[in-house]
Amino acid sequence: MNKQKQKYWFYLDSYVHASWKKDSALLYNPLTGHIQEYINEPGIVKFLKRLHHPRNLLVIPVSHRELKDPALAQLVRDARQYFMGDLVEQSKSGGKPVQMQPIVKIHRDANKMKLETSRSVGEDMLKYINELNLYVKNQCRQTCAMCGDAFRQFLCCTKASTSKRELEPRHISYLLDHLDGGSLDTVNILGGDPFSYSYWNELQTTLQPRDIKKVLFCHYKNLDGREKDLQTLADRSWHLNILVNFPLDESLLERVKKNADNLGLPTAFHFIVKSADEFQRAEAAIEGMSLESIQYHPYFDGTNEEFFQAGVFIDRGTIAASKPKSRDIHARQMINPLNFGNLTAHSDGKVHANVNKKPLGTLGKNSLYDMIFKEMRDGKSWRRTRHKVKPCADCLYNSICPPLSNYEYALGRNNLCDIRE
Amino acid sequence: MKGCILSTSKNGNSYLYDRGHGSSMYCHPLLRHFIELLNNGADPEEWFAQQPDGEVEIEAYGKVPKQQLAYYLHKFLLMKADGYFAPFDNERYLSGRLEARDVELALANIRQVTYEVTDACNLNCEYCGYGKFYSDYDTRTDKKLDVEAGKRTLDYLLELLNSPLNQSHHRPIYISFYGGEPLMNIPFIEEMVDYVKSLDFKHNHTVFSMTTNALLLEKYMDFLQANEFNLLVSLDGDETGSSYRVLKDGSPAYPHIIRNVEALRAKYPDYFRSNVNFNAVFHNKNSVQGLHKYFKERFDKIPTLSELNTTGINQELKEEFWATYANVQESLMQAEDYSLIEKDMFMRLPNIQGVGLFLDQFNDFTYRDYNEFIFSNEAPRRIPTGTCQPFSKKIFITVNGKILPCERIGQQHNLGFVDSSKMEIDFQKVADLYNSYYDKIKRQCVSCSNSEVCMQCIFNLDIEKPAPKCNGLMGDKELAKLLGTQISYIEENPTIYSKIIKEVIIE
Repeated sequence: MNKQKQKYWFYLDSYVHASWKKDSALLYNPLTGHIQEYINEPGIVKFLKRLHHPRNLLVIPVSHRELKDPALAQLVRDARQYFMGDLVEQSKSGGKPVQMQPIVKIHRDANKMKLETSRSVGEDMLKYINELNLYVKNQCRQTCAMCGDAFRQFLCCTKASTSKRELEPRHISYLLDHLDGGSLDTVNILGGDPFSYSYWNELQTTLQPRDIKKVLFCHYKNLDGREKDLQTLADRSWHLNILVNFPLDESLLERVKKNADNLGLPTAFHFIVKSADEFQRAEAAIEGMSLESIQYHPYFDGTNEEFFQAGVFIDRGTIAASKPKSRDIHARQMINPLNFGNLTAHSDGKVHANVNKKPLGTLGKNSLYDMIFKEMRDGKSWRRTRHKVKPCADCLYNSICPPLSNYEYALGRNNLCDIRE
Repeated sequence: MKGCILSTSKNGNSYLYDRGHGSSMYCHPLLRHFIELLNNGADPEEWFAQQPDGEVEIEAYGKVPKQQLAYYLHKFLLMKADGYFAPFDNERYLSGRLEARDVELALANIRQVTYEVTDACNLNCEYCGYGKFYSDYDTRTDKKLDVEAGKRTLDYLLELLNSPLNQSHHRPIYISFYGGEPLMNIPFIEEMVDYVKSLDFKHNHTVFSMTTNALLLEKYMDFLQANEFNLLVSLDGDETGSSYRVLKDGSPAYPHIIRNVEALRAKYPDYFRSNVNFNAVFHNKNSVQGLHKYFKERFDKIPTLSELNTTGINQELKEEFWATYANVQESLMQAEDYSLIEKDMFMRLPNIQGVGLFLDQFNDFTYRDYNEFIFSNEAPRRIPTGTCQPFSKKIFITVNGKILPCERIGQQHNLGFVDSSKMEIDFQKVADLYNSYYDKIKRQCVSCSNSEVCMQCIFNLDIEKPAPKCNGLMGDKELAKLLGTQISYIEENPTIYSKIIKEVIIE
């Protein structure tokens, strides 16, 4: 056939993520991590909208003449070059094909369940809780400067309270009894100093028969001289997460490490750093002591935004390098994967879906059902996505960017990036 | 098992379904070529290297420059690196087992309690599930369910529903009354309604529902309306369509049904609009077109349609049964205003249901609930067959106090008993029973291409035989054909795609 008269189907591949805002657009290929951005390209946006029309299902007819349109030509060229779409000669098919357009859908979507009289947003809601953080005691001998707010940025001990409190064992049992039948995977125990918890033995007895991962978070200085307690943890298949901050007592840390190693206790070291200097010193200590299983937690102290901009803020390259999969992109449109299903109970009994938000209620006063129902209905934490906050709601990257973390709360801004002001 | 199924639509377009990703997509013919090579045991890279420079002949496509083929090989390899086309371990996938705890949890989260309040009926419908065509039910003796057994059932369930095992809050529980004709045992229903209202459900609220032939509707409509019953009225269309519905003396029930229904509509028009629906049994004397027109014009309603159950047929009456039987889809294809019927009846039609199932099960952007995002990295496992986990949908109490997982299976498959003093279900025994049935059928399931979306209930097979046979066993070719059918429908009706995704919710 004369090439001039040839007609084609132009289609996008099903796995491609597309987004557009006003005259700008973005295509992302999860197979390769490639991001194709179009800024102030109304012609491209026009074709993307046409592709996504319900009648077209990502497939449109194009003639050889139409391919001379610079916007369409560029879109087709980019789609082919980056394996995000293609042209197929119409002569090779008997009729217009369709593409499975990735319209994300959850049958138990909370917003839909609220509208259905025969259903409930609280359906099987307890099954969503996969991680429980229990602050058993808010007292500790240490005087870390970060004590009052680090726990709001990442999982960390705290004694931030005016009164001395301990989480009552009956509240812990209450929580576990209700969550046992669901998806609860991990219980994290924190303090203050968790070993000084008056009901430490009772806690161990409560947790022991349950088929869940038990993790103790403890400041390294509170582990010194605790061989017997660590032995118990090792015997009962706990995991130990050691929190390390600066100024660092290296000989103490080394002692703690040796104890844990001798006991065969699965251990991870969580280094809390607030500057490049601390980061380098942490690296040196890790190498010097041959520490394995390391996690770094940048800590915002109110004055070190520069450190965050250099080490935590992301750019297009970071996003592309992380190569989010289709499922990640779908999840980020619907929930906050970092936070969904997490529940935190403080030593005063207050329960949070996110420690940066108001409590859902108080154990002993409010039922777990009412508390979780509230979160499912309002979705302020578990379903807090970039689509719902400024300026991310107006950003092309809001589905492929990492989910909102607690750092956004700490820094008082949602865009920890250089993509959008 | 092959990881990728290739299908072709009526328009000759290629599509792939990848089991590992659980996703379907349009497939360029040249990409298809490489997938076919892999599926046939060849190495696509090796094949490509062996091709001459210049043009390569591709079957059913034509001559293609080798350079162009290189592009599709590259795409194939990109997808392969991402896990596409990997062989699927069906054995592992179907290695799920039922535990006693699962049974207990299902009861603690029960959605519907259905009582067979009586096996008496004031009709003698030809095709009745308790009639001449069927043999897998307890003999009908005009018995009435003991109300104390009804209460013991609720007492038992309430303890579980109010326990920490209940994972829900503010979830409705349907208390349903079934028969025979349930209105023939109104004292049971009245007493149970009062009893339900006296109970303290901490995490649920109750909704009453009933399936009725409507003969006694006018007599009891005040009670039904006052308690906001959801009613499903059985009516097979106009006088001809409903001619299998006959009274005990053989005379047509239709005029009586209509008189009752109209009386309800006249007295309680708002209730009729919001709480009353119709179910039509589909057979050789009615049609989809006729039913659609009748219910829409007469009642401004769209009915659900039920085909006759084809299991447990009395062999002596097999011929007569199949003469009575009719297929909804075939009838729909003969309808004149096909498009309007499809628009109105939507998911009540088997072809649309098929597309709905395809979009739900063969694509990776629909999720049951939020946990499917959180636990997505684990290779999924499931229990063989499409059998509902016991009590995951409902609990059915027969007039003889047998406990069954639903009313659509033979009553010999009871899982426990309830009487006036107690209710007994042995969770471990139930789990063991189901697992023994799964073990019997699993050999076939492991070789079935449809294992991921199986809808076959084990109780509709001869599961008690030593070697039951599943007639739904599907090879890759059959699955490809099935997928091709659904995709062809979408090609012809593309707007159905977003309509289904936006509007359809599956429990």
